[in-house]
Amino acid sequence: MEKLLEKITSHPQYRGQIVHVEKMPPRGPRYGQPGDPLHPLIEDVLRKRGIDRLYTHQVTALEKVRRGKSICVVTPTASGKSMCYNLPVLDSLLRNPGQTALYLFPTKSLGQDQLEGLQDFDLRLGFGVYDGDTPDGEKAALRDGANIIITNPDMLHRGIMPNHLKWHRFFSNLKYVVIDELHNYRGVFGTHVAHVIRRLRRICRNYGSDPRFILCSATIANPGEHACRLTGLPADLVDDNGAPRGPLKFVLWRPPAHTPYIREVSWLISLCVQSRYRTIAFSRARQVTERILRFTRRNIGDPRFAGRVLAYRGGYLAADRRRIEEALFKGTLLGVISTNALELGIDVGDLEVCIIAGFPGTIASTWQQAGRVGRGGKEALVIFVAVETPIDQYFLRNTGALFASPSERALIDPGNPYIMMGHVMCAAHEYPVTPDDYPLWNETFTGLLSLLEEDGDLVRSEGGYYFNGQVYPAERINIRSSSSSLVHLRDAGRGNRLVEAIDESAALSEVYPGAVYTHQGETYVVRELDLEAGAALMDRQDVDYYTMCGRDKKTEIISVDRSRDLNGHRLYTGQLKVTTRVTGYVKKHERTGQVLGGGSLDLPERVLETTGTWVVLDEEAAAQVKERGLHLMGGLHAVEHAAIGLLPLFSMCDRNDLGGLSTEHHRQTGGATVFIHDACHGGVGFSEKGYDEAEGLLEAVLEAVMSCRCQAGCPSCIFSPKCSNFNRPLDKEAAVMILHLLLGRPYSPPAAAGPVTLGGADRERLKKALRTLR
Amino acid sequence: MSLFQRLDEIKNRTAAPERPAPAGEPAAPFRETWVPPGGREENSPFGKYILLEDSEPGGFPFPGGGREAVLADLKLVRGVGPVNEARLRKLGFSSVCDLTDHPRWGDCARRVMELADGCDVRGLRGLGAGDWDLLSYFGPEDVVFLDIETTGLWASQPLFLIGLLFKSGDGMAVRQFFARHYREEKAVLAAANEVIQRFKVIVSYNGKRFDIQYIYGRSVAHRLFYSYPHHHVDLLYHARRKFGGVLPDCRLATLEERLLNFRREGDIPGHLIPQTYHRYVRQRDPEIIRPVIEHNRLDLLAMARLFGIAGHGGPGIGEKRSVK
Repeated sequence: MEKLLEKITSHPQYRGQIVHVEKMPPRGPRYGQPGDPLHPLIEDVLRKRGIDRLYTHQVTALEKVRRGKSICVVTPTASGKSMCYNLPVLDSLLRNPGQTALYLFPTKSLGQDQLEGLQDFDLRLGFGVYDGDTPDGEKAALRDGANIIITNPDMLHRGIMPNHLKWHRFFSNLKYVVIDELHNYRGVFGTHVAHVIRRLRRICRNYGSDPRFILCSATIANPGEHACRLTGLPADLVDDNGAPRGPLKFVLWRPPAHTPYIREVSWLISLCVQSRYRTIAFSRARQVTERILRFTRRNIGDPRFAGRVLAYRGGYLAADRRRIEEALFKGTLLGVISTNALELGIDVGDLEVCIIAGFPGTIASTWQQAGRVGRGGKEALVIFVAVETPIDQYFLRNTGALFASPSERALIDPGNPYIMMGHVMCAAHEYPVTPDDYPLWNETFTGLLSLLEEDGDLVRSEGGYYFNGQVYPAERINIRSSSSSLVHLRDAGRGNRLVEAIDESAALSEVYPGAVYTHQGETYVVRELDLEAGAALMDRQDVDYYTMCGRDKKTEIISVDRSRDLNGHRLYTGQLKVTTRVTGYVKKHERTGQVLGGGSLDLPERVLETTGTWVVLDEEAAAQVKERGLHLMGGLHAVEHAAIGLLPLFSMCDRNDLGGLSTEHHRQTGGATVFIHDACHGGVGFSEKGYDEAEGLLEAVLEAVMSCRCQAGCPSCIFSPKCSNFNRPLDKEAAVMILHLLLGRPYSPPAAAGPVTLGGADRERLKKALRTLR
Repeated sequence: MSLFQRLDEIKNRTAAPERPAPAGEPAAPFRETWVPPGGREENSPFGKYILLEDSEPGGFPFPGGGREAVLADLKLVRGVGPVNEARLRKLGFSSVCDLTDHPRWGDCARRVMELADGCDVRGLRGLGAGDWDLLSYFGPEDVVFLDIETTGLWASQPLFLIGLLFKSGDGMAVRQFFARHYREEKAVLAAANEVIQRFKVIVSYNGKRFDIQYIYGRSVAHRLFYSYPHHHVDLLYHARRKFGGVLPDCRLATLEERLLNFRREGDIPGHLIPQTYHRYVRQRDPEIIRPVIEHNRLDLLAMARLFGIAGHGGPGIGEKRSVK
């Protein structure tokens, strides 16, 4: 690695981009010995694979499961986590051949990956993947004969549990439920899964089984709490990681001024690949991975190497993705440029260099991505290339922050009635609900039963609730918030061959007519987009520009449910209509970024009807903020971000489940307004909670902003990782003042800010001057 | 009103000391006192249920046809497909019997004959014999017609009525096993099962996909695990094959109207049956459920009367049978 770093720093293109190098010491392996030996067949397999000892966490997991405990394993990527569930499960199943186990993975591809992991054991047990892609003939055989079923929460919810009568053998003998990638189940999706698991436990109880849960998570701040909320059961934490880690260098990289980071990243990749280091790069957007790929291939030039770099992202056909994963694992690929799709547990073998192009949004993700390199004690290098956003710049300014920040908390709210309601219906459809079932849920459950009875969806008789209706409720409840319909991208020049399939929601902003869409580095120009037919026709065409669309976002108040006074300001909650429309696009030159032209578009709007909470600042207060020379809009924007960042603590959601908008003047409210709304259709009451607890929330926001020692804002106070305006404008001091006004407190400007008469711009200049003096 | 507010309201209501009973549900606990006209309360190992008995004069048409029809299908012989069959027919082989001395197919043909002589219907069925032709191995006294009424389309929802019809003396007997409450379902399943097991042939309308699967599912739900190895003739399949392009649809009522010239008056539409039963359980008014019981009885009678016609044994509508 020293050599590689030297090569980079001695390259003519190097101009001191490295801001900081964090050296992380290697960690030696720690081994343990199981009390009772494993089943001889498993020992044989392990020996053949060259594994003669187990890491401490693997042994702890095995022992705890053997003692009948549910566990939650929290260790970094590539620490042999899958052994923590495979060993105890296989050991038990081999000794009791009638037992069954359920493996849940958040995505199909992870399930497929795990299937291969099980096949490697080469044991005489029945197992297989049961998901939407499984052929019908195999389905019945798996259902009636398999010991281990690998599936995802969607299939369990929609395909397996409603047909539990056909699965009676499997459920009656269910001994273990394995849930990997636990950290993925958060926010609305996680809450849905929490209900799916409660329904699963109810079905098992009816079949007389009581499975243990083996949960695995990447590093999050609250694994034990999260595990318990998700399953409703306590789980023993296993976190004594015994896997070794090689010495790791974590480099913070600042691209020179006026150099696009994409060029910088592709230069780094080509340098690594040409030096035969196996490299993975992560970027935040799908089309960015493609552009990095194009630059990289051009940089390398030499076709021997250029062909050994590929892109990997969502949208690719499953078979194509499999091929890339395999090539990566075998080492025929030298480099891959990926979105966060490769962040999860897919085994991609030994990689040496990881390049993170822009902060991925969470600290947990950053470490997941960094964890992709240096397994098995080998030396590894991570390069964090900062993007021109305040968050990334913050991490460059405060070099310690990235390494000291704790991982985020995973939050879910199994008590949320909006999400629970659908699952009450599903549960009643699976079995009549009786008072025995109440302890699996909280008191909201019984409330909902009464409510659904009133509405005629359930019938109550002698304490039992019976499903009334002929619909199939699981079909109507999509446990993921994203739309399930896909748009197929086809190559018009090659007989409409299917190139890839992307989500309908992404289609509008990525494959509008005229858009350049890149697939494995080859550019296509979209000819037409037919949403009804779910197809986009593209022509293969070599172009040297890319396209970016412009969006128009409107928030409209449909109705007000409740409103109240908030220290002289007005607070509302009600129904909102958030409309986004792609209005046009610009063509930019691939290398220079120069605008070459563009066009306007007439595309359908995307409408999100949801619930929201908004506060309208008193006119006089708004004027006061301006009088102080503070940036009113920047202040409102900052309050919005900070409130979205903290509302999850009140309503137990993920910040991605929320959206917001702030404006100096809203047409309907007639004043300066901050909106916070739920990001899913219909809303699930997250922002409504903000209405009820507005004072507490604002108090917490003020506390967070004031106690933060940054000067102009940072990710832990007013920056948002997914702000569509790239965190501009933001004014921290204005936010402090607005928060004081909203809480009805007297505001006094900070002493350090100097005379009050100074305007905002002057103050900034003064601050800068002071900084240089020091 | 938001969901939070509605839930608060419900919470406050239940917390209030005097809670008015919801409309339509009597406050008194359920007592099995009501016995519908024509029915009587019966005991089973799993509790009480209602049995409704009825008889109809006249028998049902039993499709004639000898066992030769089964053996006329040369494809029963392993290895003989449509091509070989045509070739063999040209050579004068018209039945499996003729093939027993054939140098190439003799062995397999003799095996088929063994099954036929031993009346092994399942074995013949396994070789691909048509279930209609195989009826020739049975008599009208082996047949039970079956139709159920349920509270949903998925077997996770209880059923409440199993109707059976079979030959009794010169007439037909109808037996309907009825649950007055979801709780009586297990007794209904057990009592009906006992009767069904006395017969060898089940005749249904869409029963292969629905009724039998449903009863099996419900028996799993009650840990009874019933199985039905009967010879099963599903009239819907045969009706579709015969009348598919001719009649507007193949619903039982349509066939009844067009073929038997019988029109039901005030029949309850099938999709209303689940909610009707739920309403009956809550209100316990026999008048609510009576149309459903009658509907089931008429379905059974319709099946029985169509038995001879719907299969490919009887004459079709607008269908010219080719004469060999």
